[in-house]
Amino acid sequence: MTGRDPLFETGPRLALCALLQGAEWVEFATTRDMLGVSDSVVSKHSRTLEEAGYLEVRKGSVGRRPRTWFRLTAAGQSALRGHLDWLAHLRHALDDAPHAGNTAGGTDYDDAVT
Amino acid sequence: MSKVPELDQVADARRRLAAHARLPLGYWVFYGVALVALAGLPLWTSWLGAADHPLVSWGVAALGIASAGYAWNRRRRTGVHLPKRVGAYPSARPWWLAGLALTLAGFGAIFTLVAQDLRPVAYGVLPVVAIAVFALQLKTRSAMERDLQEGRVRP
Repeated sequence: MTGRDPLFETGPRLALCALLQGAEWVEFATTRDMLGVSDSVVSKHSRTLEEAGYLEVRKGSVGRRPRTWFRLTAAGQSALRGHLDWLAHLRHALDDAPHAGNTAGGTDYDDAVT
Repeated sequence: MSKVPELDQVADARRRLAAHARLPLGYWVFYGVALVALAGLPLWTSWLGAADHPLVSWGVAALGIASAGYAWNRRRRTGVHLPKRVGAYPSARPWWLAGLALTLAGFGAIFTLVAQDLRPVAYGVLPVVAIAVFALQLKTRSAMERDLQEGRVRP
């Protein structure tokens, strides 16, 4: 899979997947702390990514405490790489554009790359 | 800030993950001591009697168990399971292989020197080998961190 994937464009999904890209497993609380978001945000977006087949969720326990771990699936790795390639191309396109505007806070990517 | 804030988010997330590849100072102190102890084994065993050799074996086994226990506890405590295989880190692998080759060559050299009764020379070679292996291990770890920061790791 290559190119833009709209699934990564909501909330912290892209950052979550980028975090998991280099790890085998990352625990729920660690993910939440590293992203600086709430439990419910991690739960909501991880569920969406899991339903899309991009994320694998493992439940277990450490001592008596229940724990949840995440990892990217092969499909998730592939989709993330494609999306990041697309973003890198977009950045080059914006850098090359003579009057590239400030895109912080929201970008109309379709306009920028065409 | 780049013109594509999503890429900044990705870089930030990778930096945070890469920080977990960094080991504390205490680890490196212990590693340095263990390295000298292991690389100098042919020297230490040459001073010990045959009856003491099982003690050395137990010492090496204890070091291996302590090392595995440390790695397990660290993963459990931090909640981050980084890939254990060095093959997952493309730019760290050459440094790791160089470190392995140097460790084997250094150990072999010290062993040969002790066997030929050249202990003073072996004592001179030991710190050189230990420092070189230590430096290569540091390079390996920093290459692993860089690979994580740049998204090159393939778990």
